[in-house]
Amino acid sequence: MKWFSLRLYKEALKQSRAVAIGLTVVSVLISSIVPAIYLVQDRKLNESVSFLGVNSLTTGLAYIAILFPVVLIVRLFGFLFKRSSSDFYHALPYTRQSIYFSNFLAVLTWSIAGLVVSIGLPSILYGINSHRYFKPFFILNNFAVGAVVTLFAAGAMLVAVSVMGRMMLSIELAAFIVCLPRAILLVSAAIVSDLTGVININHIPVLSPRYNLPFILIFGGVFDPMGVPYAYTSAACILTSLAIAVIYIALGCFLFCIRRSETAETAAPDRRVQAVIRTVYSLIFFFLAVGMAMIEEDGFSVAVFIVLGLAVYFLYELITTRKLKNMLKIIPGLGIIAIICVVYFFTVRFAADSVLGFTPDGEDIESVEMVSLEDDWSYYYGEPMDYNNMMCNNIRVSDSEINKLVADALMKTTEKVKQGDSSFYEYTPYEVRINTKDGKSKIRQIQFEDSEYAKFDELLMKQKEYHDATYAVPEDAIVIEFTVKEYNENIWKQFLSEYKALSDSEKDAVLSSPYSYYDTYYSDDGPDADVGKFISINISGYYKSQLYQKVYTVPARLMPKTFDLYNEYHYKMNIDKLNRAIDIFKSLGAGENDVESVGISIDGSTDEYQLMCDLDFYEYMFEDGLQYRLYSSCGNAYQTPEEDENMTGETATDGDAAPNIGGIASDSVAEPDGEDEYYDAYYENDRALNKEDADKLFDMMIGVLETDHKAESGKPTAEINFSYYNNDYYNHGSLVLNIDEEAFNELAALLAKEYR
Amino acid sequence: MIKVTNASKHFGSFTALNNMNAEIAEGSIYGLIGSNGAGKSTFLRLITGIYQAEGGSVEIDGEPLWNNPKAKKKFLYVPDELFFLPGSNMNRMAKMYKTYYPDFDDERYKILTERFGLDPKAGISTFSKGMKRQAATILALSCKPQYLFFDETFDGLDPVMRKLVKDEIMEDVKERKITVVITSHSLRELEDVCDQLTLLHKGGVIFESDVMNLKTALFKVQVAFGEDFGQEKFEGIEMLSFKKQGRVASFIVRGERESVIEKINAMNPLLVDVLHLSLEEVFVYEMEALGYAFKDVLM
Repeated sequence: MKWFSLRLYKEALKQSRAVAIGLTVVSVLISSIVPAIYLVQDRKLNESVSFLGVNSLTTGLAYIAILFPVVLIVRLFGFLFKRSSSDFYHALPYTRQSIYFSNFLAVLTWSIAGLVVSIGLPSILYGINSHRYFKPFFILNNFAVGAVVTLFAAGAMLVAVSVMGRMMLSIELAAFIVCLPRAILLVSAAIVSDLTGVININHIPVLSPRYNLPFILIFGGVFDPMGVPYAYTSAACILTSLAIAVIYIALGCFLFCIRRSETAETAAPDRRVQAVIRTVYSLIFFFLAVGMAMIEEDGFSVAVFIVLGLAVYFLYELITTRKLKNMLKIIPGLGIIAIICVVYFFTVRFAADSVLGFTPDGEDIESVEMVSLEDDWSYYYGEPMDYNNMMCNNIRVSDSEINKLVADALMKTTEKVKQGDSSFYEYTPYEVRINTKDGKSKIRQIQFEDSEYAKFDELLMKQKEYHDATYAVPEDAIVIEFTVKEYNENIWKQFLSEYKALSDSEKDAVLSSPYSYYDTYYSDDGPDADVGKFISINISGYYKSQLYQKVYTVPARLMPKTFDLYNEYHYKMNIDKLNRAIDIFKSLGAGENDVESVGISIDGSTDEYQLMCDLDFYEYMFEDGLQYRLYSSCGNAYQTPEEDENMTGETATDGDAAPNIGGIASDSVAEPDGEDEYYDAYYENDRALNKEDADKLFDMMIGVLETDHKAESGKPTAEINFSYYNNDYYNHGSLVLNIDEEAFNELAALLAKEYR
Repeated sequence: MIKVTNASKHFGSFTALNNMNAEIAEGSIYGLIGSNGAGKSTFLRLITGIYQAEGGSVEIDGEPLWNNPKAKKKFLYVPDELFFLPGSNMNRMAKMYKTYYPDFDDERYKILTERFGLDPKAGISTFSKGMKRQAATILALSCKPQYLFFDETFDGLDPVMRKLVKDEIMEDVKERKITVVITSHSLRELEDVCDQLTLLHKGGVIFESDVMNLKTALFKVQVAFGEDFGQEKFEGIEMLSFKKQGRVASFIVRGERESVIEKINAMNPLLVDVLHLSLEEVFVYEMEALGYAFKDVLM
């Protein structure tokens, strides 16, 4: 029997060529617009390197990988939906298998070509963008994922077109084939998870949504953001989806071969298939109703889902057959649904009881592993994992004391659930994989009391591998602080060499980052005063294709060379830019540059004053010549409370409490318009300022800065932020510099007294 | 040869064909007539492998048809509802046919296109219904299959084109000994082209016969005698119908013409006249003999 015909294949390619080209154009637009924007934007902003996650290389990969086969199958198998074309193709001198596979391979050919272009072009765009980094392996990985999703969608669509007689019904059925089984599993797992409280639905092998690539790629962002990059790089997930795809394709072939030509233009080949589809579509709602009843939600939720299920059940029949009298005929089918729901109830109950029944003793446990130590925020927003959490995951630990502790904690957790103990919700669960001596391996969310967890952590840290993972630093990470590659490399080398010499407690200080990813803090008064001055270093990288990140605290006391090197580079990176910003201002209006705006802010203090002052200057060309537009954000300058008679009774220690005594006003036409409180607040203190005054104030600010000197201990310092911007680029930076105390006080006094 | 043995086809509770038997010899033009819903198109779909018979068998040259490319390669089917690729013209369709049927003859295609006066580059969607039928017929003839099946193809053609198509078919039958099956609900369409005619009604064969046989087997005789007479006078002559008015009788006779006339002449009639019957008349009488009213079957 022939399964393929080159003639049919070539003709199918020809027939679908125009559609395929159109799809390729659309998919290239979808996948390439983001990297194209980044390419233009990154050049302007000139920021440090940022890393792409494996699932970020090709924007919209899932949609592209689904769009191709669905549209092409409608094109090439659409003959099934009309009697004339159906008869024509079924009369051709080719086996049905041959028609099926020849057309399918034509679909696959165009789809793969589309994927190659849709993945290749963004890869090139990111590759030539020195500010974006990804592993070359991602290209292959994205292609593999895209190919599997394509096969999956194709298989579902082929089953659907082989069963249904109309195009829209086929597309609808295909969508359900892709999503519904996994959705039902997800709902079921969620019910079991809710009933037991000890399992995470995302970690159930094969049944987890992660094992259905189209499903997790499309919906994962909603309920399992971490699952998306995980699915991309998990061989198990990819292969499971591939296996399902192959099954669907084979099933599609079988159904295609037995399909009757007269099915064209009908809803479904026969009443039995119609009944099955109608029942399956409505089941998920009935299952949800069962679930709601089992987790003792209020009756309203149960009723809502029952009504939804009934609506889907009857509406499907009405829309597909357009016969009102069928509504009565299908009522007996609800009896079957009721039986299925009863079976479902007992199945879920059994599953929940099995889960809760897993409470091995300590001596029955062979080893344990910590699983998914994702930070809450990273989990919910799909951000890169913390490096050390990643390294600590899945380290197999065999220790009798740990085993007993875990077993006892699991038993307690399970008992709380069984007894409906509400204190269950007061503790943070930790996911632990428990491997028993009889070969079972289960992941459970176990609640530890604080003392128990402290003991658990202490015991884990005694395990060399776990201990090493906790304090590991990635040798091949990339520092993402500076735009000069050499600086980043040198900083990291220096960091690594100093870090290795630290004790565990000192390493703890380095690994615990008190601030967010984006902060670089430089102060004598850090939140952790023990460490004194410190800066933060952000790193990123890949571990087995998973993107990680880490922020390290670099205290001057513990890692002086790294600290000094960092500041030296920081100064080098920014002093030239600051000098340029100053030069630009001086040449503003003379038509000597193409800069649109320049801004300098000073945030510092002396014994006499605290000052936070921003000066932003915009230069626009108007028809009648140059004009200057000066804008300022809020400026606070105040004397110590005893000396400032204009102060209110509040103490001027926090920015929020201090009145806005001095403000450098704008002569712009902007006025509070009542639309935005935040921006209106700036305009409230605006006053006109001419160029002469602006020049004077700017000169005073520059005079404050001892731009030739780096910050030195013992002298007053201020943080200087600056930026300048034109159509092609945006530059900004910050420095901490010593200030001329006399000039500073003079400026602050001027602002406090004359610019109220 | 096409052989259909006890083939049936049901659509739900409706029986489209019921234990149908047929043998279509090679090199013949087989006509299938019946009213709407008689089962003509269903029969064609069975013998083209579009439908699978429920029970019985359908074979072409001894090979089962269902899902058998080797058997399907031998025929081309021009259905009642035609299929063309969206947005195509005849040249595009010719390329497609050439892909599916390697024996497609480009030269013949060109000649036929000119003969029928169709523009092969014009979009088929701009063609009239009759022109589309011509296009489909041209493509089918260009494939040079061994068997050609036409489902009510002639019904949309004007008399000139109908003659042209019939001439082309007959030329192929003569030169290549192809076999043609044509369905229609009009006897007149098939009368002058078919060798064999089968009448279908409600999924079953009512009547089947060689056309020449049909035309010659029955004839009408008008006879007058000097004396009074009745039907019993003509004992030994097979009559399907007997009418008498006065001394003149007319009757429909099945039999060998010369011997019947000889017998009648031996009775010394005053007048003997032999009249030919039209095919329609033959069918009327044959079906009456079988117990059917013509209008119920073909109207």
